[in-house]
Amino acid sequence: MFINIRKSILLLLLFIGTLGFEMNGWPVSAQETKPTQYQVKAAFIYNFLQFIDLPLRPNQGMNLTLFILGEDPFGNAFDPFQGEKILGRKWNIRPIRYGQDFKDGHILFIAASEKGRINQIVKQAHTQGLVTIGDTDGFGQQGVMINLFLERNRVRFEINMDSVRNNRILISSHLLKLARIISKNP
Amino acid sequence: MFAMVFVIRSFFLLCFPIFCFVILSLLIPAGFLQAQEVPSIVDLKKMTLEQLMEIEVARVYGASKFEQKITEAPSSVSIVTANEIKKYGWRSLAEILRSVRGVFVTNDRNYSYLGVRGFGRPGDYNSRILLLIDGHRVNDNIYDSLLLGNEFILDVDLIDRIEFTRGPGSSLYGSNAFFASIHVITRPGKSINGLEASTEAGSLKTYKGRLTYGNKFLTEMEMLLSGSFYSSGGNERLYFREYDSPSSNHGLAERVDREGFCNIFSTVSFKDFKFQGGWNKREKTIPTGYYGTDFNHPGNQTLDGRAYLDLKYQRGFKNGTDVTARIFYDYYQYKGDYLYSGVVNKDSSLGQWWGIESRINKTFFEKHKVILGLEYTNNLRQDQKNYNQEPYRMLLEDKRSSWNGALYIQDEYSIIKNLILNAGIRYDYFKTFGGAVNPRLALIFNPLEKTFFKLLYGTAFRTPNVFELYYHDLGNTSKPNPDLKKETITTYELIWEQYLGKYLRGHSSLYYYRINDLISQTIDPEDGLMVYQNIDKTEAKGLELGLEIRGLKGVEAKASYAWQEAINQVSGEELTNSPKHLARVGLSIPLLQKKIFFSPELRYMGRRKTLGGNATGGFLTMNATLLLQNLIPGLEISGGVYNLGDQSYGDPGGAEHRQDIIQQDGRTFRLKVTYRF
Repeated sequence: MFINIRKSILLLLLFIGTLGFEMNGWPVSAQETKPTQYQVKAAFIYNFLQFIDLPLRPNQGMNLTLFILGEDPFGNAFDPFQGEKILGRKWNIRPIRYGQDFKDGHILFIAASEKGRINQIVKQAHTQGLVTIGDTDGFGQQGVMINLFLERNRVRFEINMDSVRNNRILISSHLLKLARIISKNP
Repeated sequence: MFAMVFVIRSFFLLCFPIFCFVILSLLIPAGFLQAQEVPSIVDLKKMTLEQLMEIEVARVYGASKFEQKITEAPSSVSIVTANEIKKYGWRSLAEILRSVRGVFVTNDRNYSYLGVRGFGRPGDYNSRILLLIDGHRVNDNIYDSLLLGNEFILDVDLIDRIEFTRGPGSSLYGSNAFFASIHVITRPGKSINGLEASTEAGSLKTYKGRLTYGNKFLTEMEMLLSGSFYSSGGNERLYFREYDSPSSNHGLAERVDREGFCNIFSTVSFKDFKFQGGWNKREKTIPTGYYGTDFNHPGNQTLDGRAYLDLKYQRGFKNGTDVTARIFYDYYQYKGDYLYSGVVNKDSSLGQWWGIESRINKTFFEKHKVILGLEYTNNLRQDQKNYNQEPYRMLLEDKRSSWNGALYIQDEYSIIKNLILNAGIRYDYFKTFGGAVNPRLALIFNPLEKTFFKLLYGTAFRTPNVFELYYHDLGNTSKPNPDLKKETITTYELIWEQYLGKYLRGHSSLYYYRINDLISQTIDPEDGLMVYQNIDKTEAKGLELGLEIRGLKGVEAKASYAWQEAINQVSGEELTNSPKHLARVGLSIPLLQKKIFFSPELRYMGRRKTLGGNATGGFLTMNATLLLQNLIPGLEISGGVYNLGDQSYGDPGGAEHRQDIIQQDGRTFRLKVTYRF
């Protein structure tokens, strides 16, 4: 008899426990097989390119080149985007090491491994007219134009407006609306 | 009065899942009831930035090769993936677990027994390790046992990954999570994407077939349905010198090593619901003549049947809340036929149980990740029976039922950016034993980007199962002990994990544990009967080292070494079946990019003390597998050699065996062909 009461209390607790938290949010996604952050980041980069006015390069024709500088964190995350076109232009992705020439490229993704020499890289890339993208804490403040970061396991990005303006890159206002803006002179 | 309480209870139990769903549906605007799909990579391509910003990503370490979750987990975790299972050609769960750092598996030619951290006493039925399939508890309610060999409920080809978590897990999982918990995650239907047929043939007249259908429909429904069968003739003849006399066929057990199983497994998920069912039946003839049965008789055999149904509801909310509720029904049946001078003794047990669980994960103030959970299990049947068939004589008919419930809470608190405190506590209530409280504390320190330190403290418990409490055979060999108490363990551990460059991960851990009131099979000197008692105390310490390479030009390698010393504090002696040294190296080399892989592996097991006071020698075995995939689209061929050097080795026998050391298989082969339509 005693045990049965305890059991009932336990069940009641079980029930209240589930309702105790107010479900005032909206479902986002199921939890099981989530994409990796680099699969999502690759999709972000692919999307960014639709909103940035990228210059033509003499030896490249209409093609766009994305260089990945340093230790490539993407693995095969870009594979689904190979062969896709960006505003009618083909694009290709090429990993490079520090010291290699990247002046033929349009976009430079700077990996976390390049943290120690980020200032030189940013300076060199911007002089050569490349759009810089990173995903490392602090890269945004150090002049990288678009920097991806994680917030509550979701990918977010910040845009360094000073870098974008100083290097005369045109970024669609749509992108700016979604970004966290970094700027010393608003 | 009793009836009324019963009605109230039943009402709550039945209404629980329905209520949860109704309330949830009411609280959520109808338009959002259509849960968003977990996007596949193809979907990612079509998504807008706004949609991409809502996707929750799996947390993986920088180079996306290692799961970051591992480093933040409040324990030492090893992961085995489907890819590794394929490349190394592992044939059963027992074989897979052998590859895990610090784990050893022994086999008595019927069941496989798992040893962790120097603890794997002969005669234990894996009751101190918890196994979950997609979160569903698999240990049964009679012996608490885990069936790991071909008697495992799931075909190993359906495993997506295995997370092996060392140390006490009772603060989250309750009883049985004593030394380790194993979480098996099954393959999603879309990974099959149609029909997959697999067939294999191997040494010892072994054949296996599997047919799996899996798909995803309308982006909201996903299903997998799979069936397998297996048949093995086993060793034509096995020689046991303990039986070498004219009356027992000069120690030769001929054609009594047969094994067969069949299983069905299915998962159907629709929106936030996931329904899963599994069924497995295995039969094995026993060549060892254990429990003093007639040697070399094909009538000595066991049958194990296991089934479950599980309905799960899981939903993530934008405000960071994640809700899970589940209701399940489980079934376990064991039947053993044992021949004593021609008389068939029928030993059997039947377990049936059902339960409900609910869990809420929520993040507070960005710094606290809280899990709150409740569980209830009702053991409808925990029956054991033993009788002689002809002349009929009933020896045991024990029918039981019980229930238990639990409440737990865990908080992962990010004190500062690189310091996490993970604290959890769980209260379990058992109808038969009363309450148990188990805490776990972990401090995870991440001083440098690639360096993690963990300091862990935890306790765990295991309640005696109905077999240990009530099994007897009218005083022939054993007697019951209904006064058994729970056994407890306290563990301390220090872990250092280090990423070295892009491809390398190092792991080291140092641990100490103490077990009190250990439930042990003993022989009562007064009547000579076997009985379980809470008499032993064990202390152990150990060191585990691991090194892992991933992604370097497709090469993957894992090396591990474990040193352990487990001492029985009552006798002062080292434990039986407890190797001091364990080592393993596995290497997978792509011979042709993503198409041909050669994967050799080497395993070393140190000497182990046996029950008879002898020792098994240390031994080294080697396996090698060649995998060819996608040379023709959809076709996969794998050929494996196991125990390549034909090393002769044995595992310690239990008290039920006359053999002190049981000889294991020599060199075997397997060829497997899989085709995806």
